[in-house]
Amino acid sequence: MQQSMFNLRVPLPERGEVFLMNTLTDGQLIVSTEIAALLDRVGDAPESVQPEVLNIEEREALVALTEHGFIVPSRATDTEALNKYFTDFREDTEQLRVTVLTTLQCNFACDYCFQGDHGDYNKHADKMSLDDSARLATWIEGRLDELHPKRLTITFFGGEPLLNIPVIYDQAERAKKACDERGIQLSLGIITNGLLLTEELVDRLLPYGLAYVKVTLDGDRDTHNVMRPLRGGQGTFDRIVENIRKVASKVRIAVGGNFDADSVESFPALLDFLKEQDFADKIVKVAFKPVIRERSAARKGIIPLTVVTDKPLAGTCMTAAGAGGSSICDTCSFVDEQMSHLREETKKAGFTTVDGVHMGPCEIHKKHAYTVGPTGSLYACPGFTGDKGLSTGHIDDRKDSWLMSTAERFEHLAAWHNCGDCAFIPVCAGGCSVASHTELGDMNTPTCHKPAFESALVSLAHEAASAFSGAH
Amino acid sequence: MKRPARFQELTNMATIKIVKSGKEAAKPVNYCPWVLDSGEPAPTK
Repeated sequence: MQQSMFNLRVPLPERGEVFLMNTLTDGQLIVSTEIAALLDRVGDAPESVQPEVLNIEEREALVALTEHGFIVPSRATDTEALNKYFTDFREDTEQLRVTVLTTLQCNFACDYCFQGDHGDYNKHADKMSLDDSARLATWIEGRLDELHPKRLTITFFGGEPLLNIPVIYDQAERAKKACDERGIQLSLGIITNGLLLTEELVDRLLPYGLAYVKVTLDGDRDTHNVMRPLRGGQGTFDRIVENIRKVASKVRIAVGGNFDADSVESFPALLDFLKEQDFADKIVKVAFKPVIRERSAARKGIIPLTVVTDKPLAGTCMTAAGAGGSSICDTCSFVDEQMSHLREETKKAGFTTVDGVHMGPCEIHKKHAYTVGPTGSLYACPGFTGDKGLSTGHIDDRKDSWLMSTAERFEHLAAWHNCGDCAFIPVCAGGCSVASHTELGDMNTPTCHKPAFESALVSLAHEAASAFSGAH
Repeated sequence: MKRPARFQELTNMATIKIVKSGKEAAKPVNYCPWVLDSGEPAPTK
């Protein structure tokens, strides 16, 4: 027997204890330093952990550590369990996930938008027709009959999805009917800039299973208005906040935000503002990430992640914790630090946020998760939309050889095979494949932000320890 | 004071505090935390 390769630990010296986490089982324990030392002996001095030389407490501790996944028979067991974990995740049929891009058009003029072509901000970009919407609904029904999932989750995204509300209503109605007929639970989500968010929209979608609306605020009022203006340059902050206020009592609101080196300092002020609002307790999640700056030579629809200016964050990874080449991005520590800082500030303000440790595997590794473009092209994830060369299929189920070949590429994505013995593999999966593809030219090469994971782990450990103390 | 629900007493050893059990299958993120970071629940608070 030996320690699992997925074990992580954070010393808690002020308590004389150690936080242990196994990323494969998600087991999280707080143990005495003696038990942590006992765990070390499993690997370093196996003869000292034979049952005949241990006392009852030590034997019980070893049993508990084994039950929670911290001790395994061999490295081969770990590898086998990891493969099963990814296979189970990939093949899971419990849920069918569909991200629908109702349009690639947008009413905002954010310079950093990875989807925009900055000449016309996608004013004339693709928009899903009601005919294509009907075809998409038929395609979804086909998948439901094939998989028999328990849940269908549809996320409306864009462009700005609310620029094509008729398609949202059409999809919601058709999906609801299809799910009701099959006894499937339907869950809808909208990721919007918030400008066109109305009570009417929410009221209309709630009966169909609207679960949340995510709105983006890029810093405090002045900063947001510079980062996310209308095409005419007008600010959007006040209207978005008022729109949130009107619907917050009806639907769960999540707030996202994109920061860069110039705007990052304004985010604590945004948090202060949000916590003073009468809808603060309705916000279910707040999470910030770095902006994506487009290289002039980059193709439309691709997320470029390479630093292109002398500003610390300009052009850097959008993943914050998962992207960025391990050697070519010298700004990553800045990103990691800011991510950690904003995560802590968000928690201090009383909002739920991502913990920074559980960041994967994302849905690109899931067989039954699709992104559908406005004209019916299928993609493995939203980050690849716009590059039809990376389309994996079409809702008309055409069988072009290049589509099948691309689909096969995505089916075999396993960047973590190049991650060695890294304990974060189960919660990272080799990082964001979009970042790998764009920054490193190979979606099967890992993008590593291990320091960000380590920093988040420390926070997780201290939060757990503190909550545990408070519970006594 | 009442314990938060996620803290479970699964062992009689006072020296091991179980923050989260590793006995059940882990529940992966299951959405895109990078590009979309949707409004779906954060994995842990």
